[in-house]
Amino acid sequence: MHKSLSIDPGKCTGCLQCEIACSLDNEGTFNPSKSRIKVFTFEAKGRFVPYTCTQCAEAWCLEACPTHAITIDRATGAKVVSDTLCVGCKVCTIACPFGTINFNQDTGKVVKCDLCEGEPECAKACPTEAITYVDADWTGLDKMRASAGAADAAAQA
Amino acid sequence: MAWAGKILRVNLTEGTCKSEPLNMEWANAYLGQRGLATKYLTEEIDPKVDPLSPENKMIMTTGPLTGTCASTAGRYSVVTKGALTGAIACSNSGGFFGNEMKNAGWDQIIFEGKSPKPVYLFIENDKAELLDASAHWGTSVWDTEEAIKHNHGDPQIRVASIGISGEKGVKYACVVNDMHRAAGRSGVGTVMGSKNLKAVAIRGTKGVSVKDPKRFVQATNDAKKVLAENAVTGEGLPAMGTQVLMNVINEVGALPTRNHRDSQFEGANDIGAEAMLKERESDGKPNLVTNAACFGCTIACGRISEIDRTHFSVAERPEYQIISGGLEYEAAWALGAATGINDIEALTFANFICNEQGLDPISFGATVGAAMEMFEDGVLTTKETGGIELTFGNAKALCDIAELTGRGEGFGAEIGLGSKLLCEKYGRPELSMTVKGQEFPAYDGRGIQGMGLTYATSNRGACHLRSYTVASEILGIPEKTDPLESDGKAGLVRAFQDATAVVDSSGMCVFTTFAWTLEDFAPQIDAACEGEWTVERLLEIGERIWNLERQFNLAAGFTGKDDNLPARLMKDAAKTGPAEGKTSGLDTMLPEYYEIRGWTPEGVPSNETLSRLGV
Amino acid sequence: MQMTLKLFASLAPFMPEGAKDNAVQIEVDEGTTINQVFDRYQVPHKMAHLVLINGIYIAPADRATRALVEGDAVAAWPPVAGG
Repeated sequence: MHKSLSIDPGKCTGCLQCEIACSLDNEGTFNPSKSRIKVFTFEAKGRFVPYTCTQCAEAWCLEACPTHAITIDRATGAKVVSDTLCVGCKVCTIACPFGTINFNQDTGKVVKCDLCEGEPECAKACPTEAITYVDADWTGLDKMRASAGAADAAAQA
Repeated sequence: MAWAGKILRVNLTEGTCKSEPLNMEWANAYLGQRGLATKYLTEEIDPKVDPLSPENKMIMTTGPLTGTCASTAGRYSVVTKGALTGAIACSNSGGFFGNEMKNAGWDQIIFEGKSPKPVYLFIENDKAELLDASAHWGTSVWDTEEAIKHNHGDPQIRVASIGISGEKGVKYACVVNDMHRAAGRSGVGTVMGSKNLKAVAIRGTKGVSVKDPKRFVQATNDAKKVLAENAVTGEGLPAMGTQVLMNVINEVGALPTRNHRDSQFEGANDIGAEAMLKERESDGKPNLVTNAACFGCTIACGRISEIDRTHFSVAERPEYQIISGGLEYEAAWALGAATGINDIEALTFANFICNEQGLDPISFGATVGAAMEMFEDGVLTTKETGGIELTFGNAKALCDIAELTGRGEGFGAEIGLGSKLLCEKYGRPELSMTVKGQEFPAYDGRGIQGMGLTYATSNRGACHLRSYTVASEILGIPEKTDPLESDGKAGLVRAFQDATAVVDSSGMCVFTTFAWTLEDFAPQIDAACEGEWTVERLLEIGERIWNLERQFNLAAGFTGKDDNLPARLMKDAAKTGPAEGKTSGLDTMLPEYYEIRGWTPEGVPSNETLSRLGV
Repeated sequence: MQMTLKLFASLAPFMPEGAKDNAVQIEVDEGTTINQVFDRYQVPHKMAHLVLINGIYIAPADRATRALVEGDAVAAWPPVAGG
């Protein structure tokens, strides 16, 4: 059974602990600018929104890669970039509709979320459970439960 | 490790930017941020220098843990000789700017001299250059930040800048970063303005490393758990913010009201945390939109607010019908209780203006309170105020005067003098509620005795953040003491002063100390920094910093006589509440404090004390 | 006798009907203790962290014994802090 990152922006405070943890795991230093997950602040709305690769089942980045550098990690379902095969052509960054795969100038390779081999550091670091790692079939469960409660309350009113 | 090991020296007169290695001997003795920058400043400037002259320097400084995964580790400070006080100034700010500076590879930026024309410093990792800021001069913090990001085509740049108030010499101008976080007190933004430096814009992508990453992650995780499981840092602060104190401090009879004439405010419940959560009649929405965190903060006490669109302050002003940084306790007190105004929407508007134009809301609100008292006494009239009816409780007057002061225009320029100079100018110096020229914050030294001593002895002028004994006297952290009792407060103040100096030098936030003690800080610092960092060593560093700051002030011309409180607190008893009939017991606390500090009866650190600490 | 009960922050929802601005006048018997007042409104004792009578702090140990008198104002908060 695969798991997915589930993101609830309503719980996010914009602290960037997810970015800090991601960069430590992937780069070995605290460097949010190299994080694979980004938190966007929508100042005018007072909202903080974490966003990263959703690991598409039919992954356009993977399909677009001319060197077959992006493969599927069978254990987690993550689409993973092989640094040895990636030539930095950036075609995947064009193919991805969401912008969640990006080029790293320092290495000349592309980087994206690889779900940390099944233990995503961002979810572990999040202090408010805005980012959780849950059953891939049921990322909507919490939202569904809330909606069910609201619908029931309305029906009883 | 932990320290980037580099400082950037910017000579504004010459227009040069040079890198130099960090003095590690000083880093080991003063840790970082507040302590380390104070060491640099005291070594490099004459304490008697005019704060607004090119000979004064201004240092932006991070702590060794700034930019790491430790909770709240995104802090930076601005250290200089304060424009408001003429004393050592160190103002600490959160947001995201501190991390960006550290990630660009700089522990400190030292600004010296004065630029012949308005400039801003642009840093991209190792590259630093001074760029023309003539297009930004005369614009607000908000416009400057947006324009710089736009011009460089990079929304990820972090900016710290001054508003028009800092350009115009308002004495308590702040340095504001990330739109609404500020190095707020003592006029550090005024010094920045005097140097023709409009902004510092940074993009940092180099990464921050620590001595033992594995142990550091473990130590910081342990400490985060302490914050999460503590009812104050885990639940109280994120839900209610600092504003929860409004009713607490009012109930205990220590909420300075109408320029400290009273110590309880009948409108307290209209301007505190409970009021920010209340659904408004006009639009059914509360003032508070959400809470927000600074970099790496797992507490998230910040307030994000929206003003009622039907409120007089914004009804015709769509540019202020926005969501932005809301009221913290100190701002709400100064803009509200100190002025007798119970209109939370007006206070939020005035707070927006303080953020937009870089005004310290504490000094601004307290100065307006003093001016209101002079207006009611007939010393000031509408002739001086330009037609503004500056009476206590007048919300419209507050909003108007905030805008004028933010731009340094009209009577706003007078309010921009700060309460000490303003009250002196109009012949009523006794009405200025200040120590060393800096306005009191939100606690009455009669109802919370330790805070009287805190204000009197604070090295940067009256300040609650130098020794927050409210934690013990009112909130029972780490243990409850009697706020009305002056006995034993000398030792308490000294302990808080030394510990706080350490926290302010680490890169972390003092709000963690509602849950953490130095026992929680030491393992984090020890895992990050080269060498061995015990609680004992940290405490000695705290004491060293305090004495170094004291030495600077003494050399600048201050004496023990400046460790004083206005007559209103010393002679006029509180009129209501638990402190009714009480004055400040400073007379007995101060000699004891000097003794505990190892200072002479005149308040001068003894040679033994200085040599023991290596100052 | 008449007394005032004030519940703030996350204790506010425990206030009885008719409360305004976090305060309400209530009628209690002579000799009532703080804890008895809390029990009447189901305020969990653990949540009532900071408790004041007329602005003076009352330690947890005294909340079960200290008898209230006519006109007293009891104010309570959960663990809070600020700055």
